[in-house]
Amino acid sequence: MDFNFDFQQFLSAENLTKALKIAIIIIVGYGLIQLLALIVRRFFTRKMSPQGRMLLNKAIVYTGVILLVFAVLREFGINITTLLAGAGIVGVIVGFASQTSVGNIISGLFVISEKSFEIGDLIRVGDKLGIVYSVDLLSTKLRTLDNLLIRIPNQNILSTDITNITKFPIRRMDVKLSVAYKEDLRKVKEVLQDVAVKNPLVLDEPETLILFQNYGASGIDITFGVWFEKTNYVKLRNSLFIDIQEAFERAEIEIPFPHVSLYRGEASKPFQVEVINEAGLS
Amino acid sequence: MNQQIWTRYKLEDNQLHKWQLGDIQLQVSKVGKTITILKERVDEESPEYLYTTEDTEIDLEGGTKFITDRSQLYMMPAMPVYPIVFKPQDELKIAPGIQSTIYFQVPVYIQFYLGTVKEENRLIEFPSVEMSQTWFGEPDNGELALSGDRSILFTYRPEELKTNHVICPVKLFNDSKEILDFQRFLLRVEHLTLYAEKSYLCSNETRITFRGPDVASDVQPIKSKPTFSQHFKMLANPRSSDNRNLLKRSFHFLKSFTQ
Repeated sequence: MDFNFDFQQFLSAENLTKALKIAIIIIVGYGLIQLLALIVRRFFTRKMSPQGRMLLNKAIVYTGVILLVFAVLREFGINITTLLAGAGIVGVIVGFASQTSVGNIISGLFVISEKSFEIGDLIRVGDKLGIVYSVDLLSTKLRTLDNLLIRIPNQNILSTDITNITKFPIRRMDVKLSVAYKEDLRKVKEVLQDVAVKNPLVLDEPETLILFQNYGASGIDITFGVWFEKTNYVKLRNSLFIDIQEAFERAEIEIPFPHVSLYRGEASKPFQVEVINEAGLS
Repeated sequence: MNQQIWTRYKLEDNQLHKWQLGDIQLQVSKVGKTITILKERVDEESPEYLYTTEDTEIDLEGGTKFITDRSQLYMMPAMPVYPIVFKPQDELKIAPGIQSTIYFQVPVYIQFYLGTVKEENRLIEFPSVEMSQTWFGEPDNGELALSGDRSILFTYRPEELKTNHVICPVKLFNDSKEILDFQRFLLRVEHLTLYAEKSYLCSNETRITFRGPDVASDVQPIKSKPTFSQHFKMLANPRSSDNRNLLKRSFHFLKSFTQ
């Protein structure tokens, strides 16, 4: 084996010119791709959704890089047509091996075009809840509320029910509560109405919903639904629970807890109850 | 109380400035280079004073502090940050072809500036009345607004106006072929200029042409000062110069929200 590599021959003027040309192609080409992506981002994507913008940006950069690679290969004297013919055969083999990935890419395109959610939306996919972090070609990534990253393949996204919690600017918060059977329901309604009016985070309109739901095991079940701006969820939930509790205490409305009556054989004869004082004497 | 409060104040060391507007009390003190502004809610609806000063060394606990070497403070009114929805207390309908001027009362925001009244010199701003938020439009397509006073006036009566309120005249023309049922009206106050005459505040006029419930109304804030007095002086420019949202709806006809 001859290891005597002739650097003198390799560093010929012709090769140096070619190397310089390739370097210029790479530097100028990559610069042009980034410039084109920047121009498109700045001037043509203002009305697009964040994931649409991201996808278009990736499409421009990837296409540009492929064309750049072809241009460089041509400079090396590689025949692109032969390469593409070979790539066709390789493509079939790779295609069989990457059916799932291709499925995910196609699903990703459907997910993006359907616009069920956007980056930044809070969504529930199956039992997973999180803020959409990115929508990529293969998967959608969610950031959970406790700051974990969940990767969901786009095929799963497409075949699962999705709830977009923050799609609309306002939401209704339904608080389920219960009052004792002895309470005056008109008074309960007035107190709840007052709680809604006085809480600054509750919107005056759409109207607050007060619905006497059913006669429950321990009291009358009520749905108290207030409308709020979607960003105020935590603040409102906390303040509303405090407000309801305080308003019910002021109005002496009892919030019942489950009552269980125990009987010993005959329903008419209750248990004998003995009250013991602090000293333990009856 | 005919006292002009929207003006410049000179802050002296260990002097407390106090204002009482509606149910809020404002206190400003200066100690060295520290100016403290404190806003508190009070129970009195009819205050004993509008503005007063006290010579006292006081630390306003809970207030916002600013460190500065300036001692001139401006207190200025401003229009609220959101548009305001008016729901008249009594049913109000305007017949086709009729033009009418209605006067709405809007509680102003209070702004404090240091040195000169410029955006970059603004220290703080807050509403002079805590207005509740509401939604104008459908739950899936509408905009956030504030709930306005339910009483509306048909004549300009500034003497009935509270110091922290501004009168906003709206000239309405029903150019449709049906009766305009005035259920809910959205006044885009962020496009209005504030004027003052003595201690009264007034905005420029808004002209609205109603063309039907399903057609966007033509809304035009008139650029000149109100015509019903020659003595109006401009106090504050509109908050927004972007007129795009004037093309949005001004009237909303109620459907059931809760179903």
